[in-house]
Amino acid sequence: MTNERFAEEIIALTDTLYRVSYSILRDKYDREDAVQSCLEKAWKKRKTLRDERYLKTWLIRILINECYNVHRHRRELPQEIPEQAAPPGADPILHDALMCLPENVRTPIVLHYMEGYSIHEIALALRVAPGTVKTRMRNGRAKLKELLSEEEYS
Amino acid sequence: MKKRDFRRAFGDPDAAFVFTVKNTLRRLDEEEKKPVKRKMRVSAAIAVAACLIISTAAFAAANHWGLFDFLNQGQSGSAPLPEAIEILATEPPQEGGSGELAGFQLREAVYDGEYAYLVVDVTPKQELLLIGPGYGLDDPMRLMTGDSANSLTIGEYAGQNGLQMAYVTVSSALDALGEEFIRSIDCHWEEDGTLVLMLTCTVPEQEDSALTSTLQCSVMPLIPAASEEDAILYGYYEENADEPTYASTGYAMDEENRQETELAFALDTANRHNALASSQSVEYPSCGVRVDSVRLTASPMALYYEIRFTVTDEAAYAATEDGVWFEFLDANGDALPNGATRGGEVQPQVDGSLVQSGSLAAREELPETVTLRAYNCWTQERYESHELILEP
Repeated sequence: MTNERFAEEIIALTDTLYRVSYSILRDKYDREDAVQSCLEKAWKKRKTLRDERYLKTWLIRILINECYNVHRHRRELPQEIPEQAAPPGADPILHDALMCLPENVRTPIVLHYMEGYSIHEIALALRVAPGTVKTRMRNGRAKLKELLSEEEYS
Repeated sequence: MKKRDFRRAFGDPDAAFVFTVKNTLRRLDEEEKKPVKRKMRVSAAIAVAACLIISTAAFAAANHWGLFDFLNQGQSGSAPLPEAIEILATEPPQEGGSGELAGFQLREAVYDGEYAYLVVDVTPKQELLLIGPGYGLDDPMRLMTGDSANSLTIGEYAGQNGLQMAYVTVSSALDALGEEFIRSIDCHWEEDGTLVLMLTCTVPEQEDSALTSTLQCSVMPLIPAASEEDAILYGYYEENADEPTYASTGYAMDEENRQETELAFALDTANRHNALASSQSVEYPSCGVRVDSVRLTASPMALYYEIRFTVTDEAAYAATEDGVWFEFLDANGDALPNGATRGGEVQPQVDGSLVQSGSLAAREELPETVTLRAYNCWTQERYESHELILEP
């Protein structure tokens, strides 16, 4: 894959990079740091990507690692209090409900419902057992139902 | 039934994010021809500089990172007081922790009656590169060393130095019983191969002033995978595929040579610290609650707080969707920063009341009054604020 083609593919995934980093990191500058580190690593390792059809999954795994690295570096713990308002164009009710979930519950839900990851893929990406993912998603869905109400949740 | 589009939950990327993506790609393309040093964020540079100053002053003689090196890293606004060093226990009573692959030693600890902060040295006995909990083979080595000049990944560093990689994990018996004892683990890798861990632990209420517990310590060596089936895998999938495809890292876990060891320890609590409390009842009618008491417990590590409140107006409280939280305000009306433990939690009590607990940055002097404001954590709506008088 040429540099130009690689860059084009990455730019096409900007929305996905944004959503995944948003799920893990509250601060916009932290998200920018994480995506910058992710792209640096991906650029350096791009020739090891044997099949470019897997670019998205490969890139998201790198991004998740970088988001957690930023988390560790900042020594932040996932907090219970949502602080950011829904950005323009967002569904504010769904945004606020998701941001009320603990990060370790929110990220599996984002990966599944926004990015289409299976339980097994989420477990690999987050380096946790599939059972743990299932538990977190079950808890997350229950909490979302509470927040959104049975009628609005889908 | 209203169907929600999850992809709209966070909106579209802002312009700065899009710019970061495009600009980083452009820069990387240019750097391939002429590499340049990556710029460091000013905040990160200040944090590193502050950390170095404090570390040098307080621990010039120490060879390895200590508790305050971890705690002062990047959070000067909520750092412990300098006198916290007086309640630091070095090499507290302990038993176990030895093994053929690596030894675990509790080198420093603080138990201030509320939280325990433990520093554990994991010393390799063989040519091992010990990898901290949560790190992957592709993660930059600099994240464990703090050396920004190191551009190698953990896997590359091990390869270049002829070291076998091994994962280190630490848990506690309390965690296994469903108690959340270890709240977070931070790592620092030393040049001599020692992996230093800092564990921040929540201590449940107990009658004894001493804290005794056991850490379950594991070292899992990685070996070249004999086959794809044995290897640690990375998941890949095609956009429209039902089943994922996996790629091998080339390494497998060497279960046969896994080291499991226990490290039992005992910590004496530091002298009970000054505690102040307010038993004033103050009403927050906008959110339907009444604060019954506020208690502050001062430690050189942090100023721990406990706010007990009761729902007085079910309808008003229900309208907040259980979103009532409290924040402490300074003289300017700004919220005070969190302390060493970060965050907080609200727990329902058996008598129907609620208790919010957490920590603020440690203080030299206890306040005579606090200003407490209620707010809605979902909507961020701010409610009433009241000044409360604190008494010993």
